[in-house]
Parts: sequence; C-alpha cells; structure tokens
Amino acid sequence: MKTLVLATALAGLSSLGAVGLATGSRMETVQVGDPAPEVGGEWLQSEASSLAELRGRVVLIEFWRTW
Amino acid sequence: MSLIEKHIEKVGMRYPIANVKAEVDRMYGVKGFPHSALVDASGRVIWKGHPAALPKDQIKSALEAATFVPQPEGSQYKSLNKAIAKRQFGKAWETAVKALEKGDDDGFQSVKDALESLQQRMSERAAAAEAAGDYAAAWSVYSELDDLFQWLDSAKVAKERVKALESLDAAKDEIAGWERLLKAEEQAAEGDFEKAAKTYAAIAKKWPGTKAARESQEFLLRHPL
Repeated sequence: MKTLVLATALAGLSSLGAVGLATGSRMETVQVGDPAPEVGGEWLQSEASSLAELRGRVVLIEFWRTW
Repeated sequence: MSLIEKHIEKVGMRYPIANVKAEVDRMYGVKGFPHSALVDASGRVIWKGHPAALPKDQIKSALEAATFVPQPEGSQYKSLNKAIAKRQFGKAWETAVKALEKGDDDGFQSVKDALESLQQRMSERAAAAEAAGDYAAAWSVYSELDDLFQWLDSAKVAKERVKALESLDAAKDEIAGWERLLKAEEQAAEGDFEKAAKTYAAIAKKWPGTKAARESQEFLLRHPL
C-alpha cells in the first residue's frame, strides 16, 4: 500500500529541452527553501500540466536532454 | 515520431513530460544531466541534485505532509474522481458516503478512509501549531481545511478557528504577514524572483518579529540583490 502511494503521489515531470550555455545569477536560481518556479513548455504525451495543479502532492522534477 | 517520443514509448514513461524553454533550465540551475528537484506539498523546493542521490527520508517526510488523495480506477468513480481532481474534498466525501450507503465498494471506501485520515492529520497539525503559538501555521492549515472540506462539519470547525485567530491580538500581525508571504511565494513561483524579493523585503520591514518576516529574511539571504 505504501509503495502505491509513493508511486502515484510522486508525479514526475521531465524536461528534455536543450540547455543553453548561459548560467543564471544567484538572484534568479532556485535554492532549497524557495517556491518552485513553474515548468511550462511543450507537453509531449499528456495534457498540459503545471506545478500549481499538483499542489498538495510531492513532485519530482527531472531534467534530461538528448545528445 | 521524434527521437524523444520514441524513447518515451520504448521506456514506457507515464508521467507528464515537457520540452521546456532554456529559461526553466536556467532558473533550476541545471548544469549537468540528469538533474532533479524535489518539491513538497506546499510547492517549495526541498532538495535538488543528481537523482541517484535522491534522499529517501526526505521523500517520506514530504509524503506525510501531502494532501493527496489517490483516485480509484473505474467508470463508476467518474464523479468522485472529478471532485478529487478539483480538490473539492467535501464533495468527494459526500459522493463516497452516498455510494457506500447503496452498497459495499472498495474504491469508495478507500477514498473515504483517505479523506478521513487527511482531515484528521490536518486538524492535528493546526491544533498543535495553535498550541505552540505558531498562529501563522495554524491559520494557514485551518484555512486550507475549510477550503478543501467545504460543507462538512470539520470545515465549519476550521472556519470558526480561522475567525477566532483573526480576532486574536497576538495573532493579527502573524496572519497579516503570512497572507502577504503567500503573495510573495506566488510571485516567486511565477519565476519573478526580483519582484518576489521586493515583496519579501516589504514583509520583513512591515511585520518585524513575525514568522513571515523570518521566512522573508531567509529568502533574501538566499538571493542577495
């Protein structure tokens, strides 16, 4: 039962977007403790999602890319 | 089909996946891949790093504070699941209770149990915060209880506590500061950290000594202008 809750409550969002070389300043980079900025983009195999919609859940965001 | 879509199908990924703009990568400080961020139920980042180092204990404690209700699968749960998805937990509760009166069903029972346990946990959390003099947290949890469980008796009790706290002299500044803090958090979640920093600075100045002011100062320390 516990495993089931973990699997469903952890909604993952993966970014496969290419990343540029620019690195953000400390001002604009998320630190632990900050409200998580929205992760909008082109949704690939689901309806559009957002962190606001997932409030109340624990969310794992994973960034990946293609080479 | 693109290379990415082929991979999604091959691996069988079922969670939402987006091709995000470079600014999202930049905001999350992505410098290498893979990179992960763990977000708690209140929408805050509680950990970031390489997914192989994902802290299990932090996931566990975050899940304990989650206000998530699992949705049973099946067409008979359509209206129940709609209420859950909209976070109308009072309505979901009534739907489950009515269905259960008509006959036994595991799906409705599991939702009713989950809602009961959530209500219980939130009430305990709010009462503990109030007893400890943490009026900002008590007000915030009671408000959420009232919002989630509208029309139920537990929501009425929560609403009364919200009103009682709002008229308590010792809690007024704590609550006013906290309400403003929610605004600052909204601005940060929209990705405008500079605007949020200004709001946090205003909170620290206007309601010194409150929990909201302490949280604001912490944000400003993490993000020096």
